[in-house]
Amino acid sequence: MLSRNTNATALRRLMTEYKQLTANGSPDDMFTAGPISESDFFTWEALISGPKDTPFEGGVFAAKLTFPSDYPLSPFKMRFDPPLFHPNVYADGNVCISILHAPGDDPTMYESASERWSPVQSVEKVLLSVISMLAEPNLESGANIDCCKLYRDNREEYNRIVKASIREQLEL
Amino acid sequence: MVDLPRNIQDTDPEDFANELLRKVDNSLKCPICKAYFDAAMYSDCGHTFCAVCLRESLSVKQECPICRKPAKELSMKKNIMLEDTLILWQQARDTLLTLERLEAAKASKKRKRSASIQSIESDSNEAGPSSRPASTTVKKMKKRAESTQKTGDSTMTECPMCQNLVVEAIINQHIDGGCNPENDKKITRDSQRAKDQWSSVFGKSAKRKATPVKGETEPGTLEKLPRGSYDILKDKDLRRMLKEEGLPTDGETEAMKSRHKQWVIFWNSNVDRKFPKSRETVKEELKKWEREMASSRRKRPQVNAVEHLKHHKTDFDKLVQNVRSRKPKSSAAAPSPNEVAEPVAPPDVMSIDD
Ligand SMILES: [Zn+2]
Ligand SMILES: [Zn+2]
Ligand SMILES: [Zn+2]
Repeated sequence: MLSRNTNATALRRLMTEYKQLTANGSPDDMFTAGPISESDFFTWEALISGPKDTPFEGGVFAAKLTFPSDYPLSPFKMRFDPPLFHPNVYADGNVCISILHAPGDDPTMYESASERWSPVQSVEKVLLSVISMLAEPNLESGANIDCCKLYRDNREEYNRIVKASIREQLEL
Repeated sequence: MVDLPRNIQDTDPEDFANELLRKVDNSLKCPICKAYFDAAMYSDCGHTFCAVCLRESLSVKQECPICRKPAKELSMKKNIMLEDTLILWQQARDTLLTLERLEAAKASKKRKRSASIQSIESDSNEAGPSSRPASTTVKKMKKRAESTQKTGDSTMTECPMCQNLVVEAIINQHIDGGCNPENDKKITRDSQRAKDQWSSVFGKSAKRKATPVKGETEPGTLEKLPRGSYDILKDKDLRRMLKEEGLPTDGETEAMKSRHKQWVIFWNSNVDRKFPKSRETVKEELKKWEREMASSRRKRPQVNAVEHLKHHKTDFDKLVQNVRSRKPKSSAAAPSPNEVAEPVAPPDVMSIDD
């Protein structure tokens, strides 16, 4: 059961988002997302299918979404588990994408404010941005420097590594 | 089902089946908290939010959360007409939901009826063509029931099945109910109830609340608080300011700062309400807010991996299957390195797949 002190606004927002995601689904069935357990609405799992015409095509990627108690004032965190080989994903799986950065802080100094988090953004909008990021990495705010270099200098090898990891995942 | 706090159950009731009604309903909800507007306010751009939601958002970044045009707390204005509309809508909402449900029940009865007539029809002409269109049958029935009689206000008609006189308006339901007079009474009661509901939408029973109820204060008697310059304040200033507002003065500097900051947001938004709540009620809200913030800082329990997998097993299987069924194209076109990823709205994302 939920703790009595759970933030009511955040909880209602999350319930509404979950209800809408379940009712409408995602465009083209590109992802699903929902709370991992009924006892904690502030931790979700998202499953993303790799976008077509990218080396990620054919893969299904799981990520954990962690919501702060003042959601949607502050953005949630997203972490691929297992970590994903991608220029904008840290070694621990955390995703570096401007839409998940609070309007106040800009760790990279390359993001225009219009791309950042605002309380009217949502799980759906973020996941669509992440899917777009899988197709087109943002090298200016790289999280995995080796992967950035590989993507820039040796695209064939980058594609090969990504595809190999997906095959490995699906054969498990 | 998850055990929800009461205020969530209250503000998140059943949705309309009708898409347009659902859209109207959602247009009266705040884009930030997704509940009905609580003291609807807008800034220069015109986008509207709850007074609290907009103030909190502006305290993080001085821009409209939707269009990102610069916005300041001082330029916030009340959306009075929207609030009036909201009050009326909330009164009409239950009635509309009931009517929608009655309509749906009627439609499903109609479907059942035409199905049952088809089966009667095929029973009686076993040798002939097994199923004639239902409309032909209905016409034939109407002809058979031509001998109608007036009793009071209701037109009576002879039921083609049991040959009894039945109120014409309920003949369909009467046949569905197996020509049971007890059933007829219930149908009549239901349709009367539906009429009453309509009259409550338009009639005098839909009167607007005009006076504040318990726990609310007479509007126009409350004043807003200025925001403190928290960066230069000393502990003793903070304590004095909290004391002036009748708030607790315990805790570290940061705790006192955020307590006063949130109090100003809550209180000023309360003054923006059509029917402001009492000081004590707002204090209760602040107390609850502080408790929530404290409890959320404690660590959450680790999620059980097995439960987690079980929960998403079907989703996952479906997604994997879905993904596998797509034929991969012969050569995956790698995105150009000059193109920098940008978060995009849904329609643009779709173009990835093109
Ligand atoms: Zn709101
Ligand atoms: Zn705006
Ligand atoms: Zn009858």
